[in-house]
Formats: sequence, structure tokens, C-alpha cells
Amino acid sequence: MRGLKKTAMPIGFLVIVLLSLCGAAYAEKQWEQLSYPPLKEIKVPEVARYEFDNGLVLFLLEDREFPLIDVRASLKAGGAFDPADKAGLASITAVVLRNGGTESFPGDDLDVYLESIGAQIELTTENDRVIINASFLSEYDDDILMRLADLLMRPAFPDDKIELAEIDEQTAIAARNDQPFDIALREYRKVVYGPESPYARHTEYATIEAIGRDDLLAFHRSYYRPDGMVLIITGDFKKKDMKKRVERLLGGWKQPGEPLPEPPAVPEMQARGIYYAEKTDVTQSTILLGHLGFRVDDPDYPEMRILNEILGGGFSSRIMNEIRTKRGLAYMANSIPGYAYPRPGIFGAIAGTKSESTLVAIQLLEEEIRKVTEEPVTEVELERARSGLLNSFVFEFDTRSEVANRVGFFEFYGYPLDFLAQYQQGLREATPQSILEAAKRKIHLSKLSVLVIGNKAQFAGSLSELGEVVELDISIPEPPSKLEIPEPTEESRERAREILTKAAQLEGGKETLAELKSLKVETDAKISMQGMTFNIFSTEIQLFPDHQYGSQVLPFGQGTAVQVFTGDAGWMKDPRGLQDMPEDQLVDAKADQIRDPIRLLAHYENMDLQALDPIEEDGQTFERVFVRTELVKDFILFFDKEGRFVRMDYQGKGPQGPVKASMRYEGFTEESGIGFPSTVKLYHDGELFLTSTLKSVEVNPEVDMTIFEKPSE
Amino acid sequence: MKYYRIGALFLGLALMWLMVPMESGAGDYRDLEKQVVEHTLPNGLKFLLVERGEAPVFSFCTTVHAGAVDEQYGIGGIAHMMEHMAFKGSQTVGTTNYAGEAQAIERVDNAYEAILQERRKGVFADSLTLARLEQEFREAQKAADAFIVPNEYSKILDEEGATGVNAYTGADQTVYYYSLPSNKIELWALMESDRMTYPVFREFYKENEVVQEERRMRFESTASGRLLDEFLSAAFKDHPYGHGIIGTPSDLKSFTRRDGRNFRNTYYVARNMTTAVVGDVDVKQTIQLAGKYFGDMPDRPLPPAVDTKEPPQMAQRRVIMEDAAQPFFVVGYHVPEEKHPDFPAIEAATDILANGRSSRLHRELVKKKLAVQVGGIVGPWGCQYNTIAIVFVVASAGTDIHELEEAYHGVVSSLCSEAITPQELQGYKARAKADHLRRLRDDDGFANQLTYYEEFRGGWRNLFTHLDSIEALTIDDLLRVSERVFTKNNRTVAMIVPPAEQE
Repeated sequence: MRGLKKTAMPIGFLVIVLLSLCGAAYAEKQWEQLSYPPLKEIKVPEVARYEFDNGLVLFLLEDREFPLIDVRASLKAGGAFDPADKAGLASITAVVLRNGGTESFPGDDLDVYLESIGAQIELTTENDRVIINASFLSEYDDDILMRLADLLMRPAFPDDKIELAEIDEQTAIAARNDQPFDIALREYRKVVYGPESPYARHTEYATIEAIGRDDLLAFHRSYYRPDGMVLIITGDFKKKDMKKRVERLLGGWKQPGEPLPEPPAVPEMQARGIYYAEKTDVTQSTILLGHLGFRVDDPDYPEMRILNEILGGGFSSRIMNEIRTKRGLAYMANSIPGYAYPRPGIFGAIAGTKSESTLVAIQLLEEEIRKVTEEPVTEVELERARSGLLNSFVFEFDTRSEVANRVGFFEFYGYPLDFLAQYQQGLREATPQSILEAAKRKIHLSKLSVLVIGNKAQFAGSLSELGEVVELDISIPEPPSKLEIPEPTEESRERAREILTKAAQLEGGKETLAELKSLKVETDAKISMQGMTFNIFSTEIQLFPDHQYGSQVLPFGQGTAVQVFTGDAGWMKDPRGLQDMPEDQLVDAKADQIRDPIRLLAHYENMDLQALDPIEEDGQTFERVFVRTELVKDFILFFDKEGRFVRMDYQGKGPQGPVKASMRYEGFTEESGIGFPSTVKLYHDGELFLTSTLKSVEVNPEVDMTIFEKPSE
Repeated sequence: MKYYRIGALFLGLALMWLMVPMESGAGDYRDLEKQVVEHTLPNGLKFLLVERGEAPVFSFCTTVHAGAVDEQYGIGGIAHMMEHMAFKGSQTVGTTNYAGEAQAIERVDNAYEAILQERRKGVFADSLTLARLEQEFREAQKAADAFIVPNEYSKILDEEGATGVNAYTGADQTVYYYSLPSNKIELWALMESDRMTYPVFREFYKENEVVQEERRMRFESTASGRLLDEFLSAAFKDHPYGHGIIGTPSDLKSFTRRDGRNFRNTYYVARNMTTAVVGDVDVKQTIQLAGKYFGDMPDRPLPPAVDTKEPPQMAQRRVIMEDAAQPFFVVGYHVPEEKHPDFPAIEAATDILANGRSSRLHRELVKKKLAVQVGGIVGPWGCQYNTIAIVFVVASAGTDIHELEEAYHGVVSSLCSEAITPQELQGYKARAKADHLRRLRDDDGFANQLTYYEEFRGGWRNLFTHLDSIEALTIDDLLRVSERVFTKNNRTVAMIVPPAEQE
């Protein structure tokens, strides 16, 4: 006790400490001395079930304590039914069903009405179902139920709300790499269910753009239907009245002609892989291990449920103990139990640990999983987990709405009504041996994939110690081209070559251009962004064919930035530091060289070109040539009436994502027989973004090769 | 221990929109007041007990009137750390031999403090000495670990069927709660009194690593977390609300177990906390158990409070963070503490402005495609002292964040120029009632509210008069507070903007 005296502690506390020490001696493990009276019998209220001719199943349970009614409807209209090229359709349909309202009661009116009486109607889209939750005062029951039925059967799906829902989806796509956890869960599903599985599918700009009102109408027709739907109502009503009311409102809803679609099949278990997605702005790795699991009605479920408690289900589990409690390696460390109700779930584990300890954490997780497939759990662990599950069973029945919702849930996914009793029996019968056997059947270490979201530069060790690493490309694909380019013909190709030949002649001829060895250009650029204007002085040195050096004097005395690109590699340096060019910027740099007017005019013969119809803009006629190339989308060159190359349009990148870029060349300066535009203007989505004025040009200057070398740190 | 208030708020931005109405005659919630039995032990610990419900279960909640706001400089994060420590057991739970363990823990403390002293020398620290001290620290930890029964506290509760075993730390309070089958009421009394009266802060330095991981997860690894950290420190210049809850990385690495013990001894006193038990309980028996088990807690004086007042804000403050993440902004406005008579009007104005599909910002920004999400909340970090109301707006893809901000301020000023309509105010009242009542529907929510009102809102009985102050609100009240609160000089704007392109 010497330490206790050293600190300045109130006497009262000291006394207590001493007293408790005495207490500890005689009352050790006091909790084991407690005896509990038997638990009062659980009175499970009976939920009434009705099935209508159109297939709709209704569950009713009265709860007269509060003047409230809760409605929950489940429909087999989840995201797994999305067509592959229209991912997001189920979700958009659900959102617009609610937000769009009906012809007679538009969504905006519905919003105001519901909020003014404190009621709510919300839809949630999951993979396997759509859930409608409504909650309202019982005095409004007639009105709200009528509105709900109306929404279900006759949604208006107005265009403006579809657009709003699509903007929501697009914004979510743009932000989907912001949170490591979001990336992890998205990629995890692909790893476990396979990248093409409907259960791993997610939206892209292209799939959202492909969705139109007709798709919503068709989806609604096929999947919002009385058969397969389960409706649960609990609260302040009389069962008989409510049944009649529902029958009147929804009893006449017709099934569509086609049978209820079966949910898509779940693929076989995937082979093991080591997957890595890079996110450099994190200090912590998100780690997931996993392979395909099983359905809750699998005979191994009770055993696996117990095993999960022991392995990593709770605060006193093995994984929590090894990773968090003993080593302080993670805040979050859990097993993922493997079972799900609608279809096989995912078995595995998850942890978040500082970048440095990534590999240690993976090894610890694998080790704990391995152990449960090789050695039986101890009797003590089993008893503890089993008691916990059995003792907390009462919480399955602690509110009436919970009871009703569970009965409805079992009906929806085809589980027997006595499923809970069966499961409870299973828990009682489990033994360490039966748990080991179940673990051997359900856990396959050789199939256990590893997924890490993090910053590998800070890892101690390398993921390749675990096997061949697949680096996931999580970059967000840009929206697809909306341009409709006709099929090229021999004629349009020939015409394109003529246009380019002439344009090249005007700038000095393609031979002169092709002979260029190097070029140094200085410009003053003015950039307009977020309502502000910046001036940047820029120097660019080109060493043909593919070396490029750029430097800019940044505004506000921030110093200088340099970028070097040498055809397939590059580096960048700015006041924040030096780094290799990341993959996406390398791609941008390559695209930049493809768009370089000098290279275009010098080497157009090697390119896939076709002339388009001329267009009129601002009283001028422009000839147009479409350039088909992988790296630059919607790439069109414009030529004025003299045949001079004056503009190019393409899909570019702006500060806030993809933009329609348009580069305009104005004025004309000649230097060593080559023509250069004196001003270049870049428009983003029709707004002036950058104006660059030519300051000086040197043709074929000596280039010091050392400028391309990456400096030491 | 699994989350604390600010994390929960921003994880669930969308959840702020909850409502269930309660107008009609069946079951006036005021009747609940008569079911609450108050019982105070001689040491000052107050119990609020409610017998209700059909199912044989109960929930308890203890609110300790201590949080991050009570931390002095240098121990930022210790309140949250103490919350984690409360799950480590006591002198009887979690140990094989406490007497031996106590000595071993002393050795760990001494070793750690020696390392800190050497490290403070900075470049003059002796690396050999440090290595030796670190070795001693590891050995001391190992020796202490030998006495530990890992996670025994949770194991006992799990085994007996406890659910929702958890806690959270806010700026104002630290809250503990879980539910048990009702035949285990004595287990609750034993376990809860034990950890409150005879806590042992074992594995302190390993748990500290866990908290640092929590910090990395919540704040460092997401752009929104990094922005909120900056926002909070910009919004407050004097008051400790500006320090946040989880603590700075350097404090987390330098506070000690003894710092924690001092904090606990000062703030976790019987008079400074309230416990509620709600559900299928026998009130008489529970009172008896409370006396038997919690009577040992020492009777000590109330701890000091924070007297620092945030001075009036004289100029707008702005925090601009360049990041590739989805652009969004948070605006904070200084407002009075929740005991202030204007507080209900400020909550109403904020709600009408920002919450729900018919709110002004939703109508003007979301429905007009500029934003995808808006929301507002008053005093998310704490409101026992003068605090801030915040509104956040998430830009839709392609929207210029600066244009969005301009549109936002336009809508905010409409609160003053285009008066709040009777319909808006009525809607708010309906939603606020629903919200208030929904919190009382389940045992755990009721227990939480009782203890909160007892500690922070002038007594638990005010839980049943709260709606009167909302019912009394007038359009003039809202206009008056709006004109004062939603001003340019009174705001802190924090935003994520796209990185300036460098080409």
C-alpha cells in the first residue's frame, strides 16, 4: 500500500479503500453468492394473422397503452432486383414513391401535412426488401392508412422528384470514398459475394443516368404487389375494425400477371484473396476478413451463434480480449457471425487499428479464427455464452411491437413460427464437440479473404506476406458520355484528315511540328474559382515525345509547385512536399499529352478520327472532328472558317468532379515558323475557369535533363 | 464506452428527425409522474424508481454530473477515459488478488511517470535511460496483468442476460446504463455499486491505446471528423466546451492513472449523480437494495463547477479546410444555457429552420437541388453552460459550396424577415411533444430522461412540465431570439472546400 500514501488523497477515500480491502477478503466473488428468484412467466401476446385473396398477409396486435399506431410493411422489392446496368433503381423507386406522393396529394403537400400532425412515413431499401415504416396518432388512422395505400398503389413518380433522388445518388457516389468504413463495407461485399453479384452491386454515375421514369413505373409494377408483402400493424386500434379497414383499402389491389420474382441466387464461396484499397489520409487501417456464411435456418445456427459470442461477439469475447483488452490495438474488434435471415450471410472479422499494427492485427484475427476450428471451446466459455443467450431471451418479448414485428419478419422470409423455440432448444443441446464440428463445417480458413483499407506506406511489414495482393481500384468512374457519335464512315474519316491537314499547315505544317524537339512556354494564368480569382505564373518545358516539366508560382506567396511527367512515371513537388505522381494523376497527364495541340497536329494520322457535321455557334460555323481515344472522353476538335484549330471540347476534371471542358484558342503568335495561340481560355460547364496569356515561347531550347529527375527529399 | 455524444450525433445526422405525436386523451403522460418514487440515501445518492410494464425486465441509468467540460488543461479526455475504466471492474471483480494487484499497479504508475519525466527532456532525453524505463514499464505491466481476470465485469453481466451494457461521455455528463431480466435486480445493485464505490483502474495504459484508436477512427481518418475538431476550437475561445471530448493526442499520451483517480474522486461523488431504475421492479425492494449496496459510497461535497463564461462573440469566425471529401459546412451560433428562458424558443427556431422535410432549409436547399442534407441541433456537445446551436448543410455533387453558403444565409435571414407562420410553429409543437414522449416510451429512455432532468434541468419533475414551456411559445418569441442569435458576428462557419487545383 506504499503508493497510496504517497498521493494526496482525501482521508475518506483512504478509509473506504481499507474497508473494502477487508471486505474483499470475506466477500470474494459476491455475485456468485446471489440467488435469483425464478423469472416471472413471459406472457407472449398473440398476434392475429390474416391472409387476403390477393396474397397480402396482415398481422395485427393491439397495444392500447399509448394513442399511437405503428405500421411496418415489407415488400420483396429490394436492391437485389436492380438490373445490373440500372443499379440504384430499387432505392430511387422507394425514395420517389414517398417524396413524389400521388397525383391528388403531391409529395411536398404530404411533407407539410405529416409534419404538422407529427406523423411519419419512411421507406428504407435493403438488398432483400423494402420496408415502409409509418408512425402516427391513432386519431389520424383513417387518413394516414388511406394515404399509405394510395402511395403504394398509385405513386405519381414526378420527374422533379426523380431528378432530386438522382442528385442524391450522384452525391453519394462522389462521397463514397470519404469514409474508410464505407469503402470497406462496399468492397467487402464484392470480395465475399463476388464482384458481379446482385448482393454486392452498387451504383455508378452510369447506372443512375440510365434510370428514367419508365424504369420506376416498371419496377413498381413488378415488385410492389400484394403477394409477398407482409403488413404489421401494432398500437391503439380494435383488431376487427383494423382488419376491415385494411381489407377495404388494400384487398382490391391486384396481383400482376407474372408470378412473384424469385430473389437472385447467392454464388458459391469465392477463393481466398488478399485485397488492398489505398486511402492515404487515414491514420488507421480498416481490416475485414471474410467468406460466405449461411442462413439462419441452417442446422448449425445455434452452435455458430454460441461460437460467435465466444469468438468475437461481445465485450468478453476472445477477439476483443486479445486485440483490444490485452494489447490496446483497436477500439473496434469483432467477429462477423456468418448468418443472415434472407440468404447466406458473411462469416469473418473486423478491426480498426493504427496503420503500423495492421499486419499484427490481421494475424491475431486469423489466429483466433483458426483456433475455434481446431480446438473445442471450453465448458466454461460454452456455459457463459449459452447462459447469456438464454438469459437475455426475455428481451425478445419486452415490447409488443417487437413481438409482432418478429412474427411478420419470420413470415416474410419463410421461417416457421416456432423458430425461436427450435433455436432455443438448439442452444440447450450444444456441446463443445458439436460447436467444433459446426465450426469445421462453416469456417474455411483457406477461403478466408483479407481486405484492408489503409495507407500501406505506414504499415510495419507488407501485406504480401499473406499472399498475392490485389490492389483494388476504388477510383470513381466518370459519368458515361452522353454524346451520340454516328458510326464512322470512310468518308467521314477522309474528311477529318483533310481538316487536320489544313489546320496543321496553318500552324507550320505537320512535318515542322513533328520535327520539334523541345519547347519552352511561359504563361500568365488567371483562374476563377469559388468567386475568387488567382494569378499563377507558369512555365512549361516539353521534351518530345513524352517528357514534360511544369512549374507554377502559386498565388499569395505560397511558393512554387512543380510537376514532372516522363511518359509512364512522374513526381510532384509543392510547399507541402514531394511525392510520386499518384495513379489517377498519371492518367490525367497522359490524357493531357493526347490533348496537346502540337502533338495532335503533328501526329493526327495515327489517330482514330471522324468528321462530324459542322455546327453554328455565335454566328460562326465550325467544322468538327471527333477523336476516339480511351483516355479522353467526348473529345471533339473545332475549326473556324479559315480552317484554323480554335477549340476542343472534352470531359475534364474540375475542382468538384467531372466537368464539360472546352478549351478555346484566341489570337496568333508566330515563333520559328510555328503558330501559337496568344490566349487560351478554358471553360468548365460553360463558365470561364481559366485564362492563360502567352508570355514567351522558345522553340527547340536546350533542355537540361536533370530537371526531370526526382530530387531527393 | 462504445461511443460518446459527439460521435453519435454526427454518425446519425439523419436521425435527428424523429417524431411521434401524442395529442389525444388516452394515457396522459403526466400520469407517469405519479409512478416515480424518489429516494435519497444519507450519502446524497438519489434514486428514481418506476414500476411499469408487462415484460419481466428493467433498465437502469446513472447520470454522473461530470464530463469533458470539467477537465483542466493537460488532462483532456480523462472523463471519457474514466468511462472506459468503469468497465474494468473493482477490487473484487476482475482480479485474482487485489492486494497484490494494487502494488503491481503502483509499480506501473511509477514506471510510466518516470518515462514521462525523461521524455519531457526532449532532445536531451537519454535514449538508454528511456529504453531502460520502457523495459521496466513493460515488465511492470506484465506483472500487473498476472492478477487480471480479463473483462470479468462484462462477462458476469453478459452471462446473466444483460443487454445494452454501455456508457457515453458528453461535455456535461457521463452516463451508464443497461437492462436485465427483472429477477436479477440484486445483481445490478451489487455490480453497479461495486464499480462506483471500489473501482480499480486496471490496464489503464492499454485502454488508453484503445482510446487513441477511437480518436483515429472518429476524428483523424475522416475529413468531417477533422473539420469538426477545428470547428469546435474556433467556436469557443475561453469556455472548455471548445476542447471537445476525446482529448488531444498529446494529453492522451501524457495523463496518468493518478490523474484519472483524482478526477474520479473529485467528480464521481454520490451527491453528483442520479440513478433511475425503470421497469418490472418492486420499488420497496429496490430501495432496500439501494441502501444495502450503495450506502457505502462516501458522502463528499459537490465538486467545483465551471465559472468561465464564453465572452460575447464580436466577429464572425471562419474555418476553411481544403479536402477532396464531399463539401459541407457547419455553422455554429452562440446561445444561452438550457436553463435560460429563451432556450425553448431557440430550439424551436433551429428546428423550423433545419429539421424535417418541411423545414425552411430543406425546402430551399434540398428541394432545390443545392444540398442533399441539412440538420440543426442546439448544444450538441453540452448545454448546461452557454453553448452553441449548430446547423450543417451537405452540398449536392457539383454545387459550389460558396454559392450554397450564400443561399443558406439567405434562408436563415428569412427567419427574421418572413415571420414564422402559425403552421410552422404548430408543427414544431406537435413534433417536439412527440419527440419528448417517445423518449419516455421505453424503460431505458425513461430512465435516461429522469436522471438528465434531475441533474441538469432543475429536478426530474420538470420532465413533466417541459411541454408547457413549448406550448407557451409564440411567434414573437421565436422572432426575438432569431434576431439575436442568427447574426453574422455571432457565427462560426466551418467548411470543406475542394482543394485548389494545381496545374
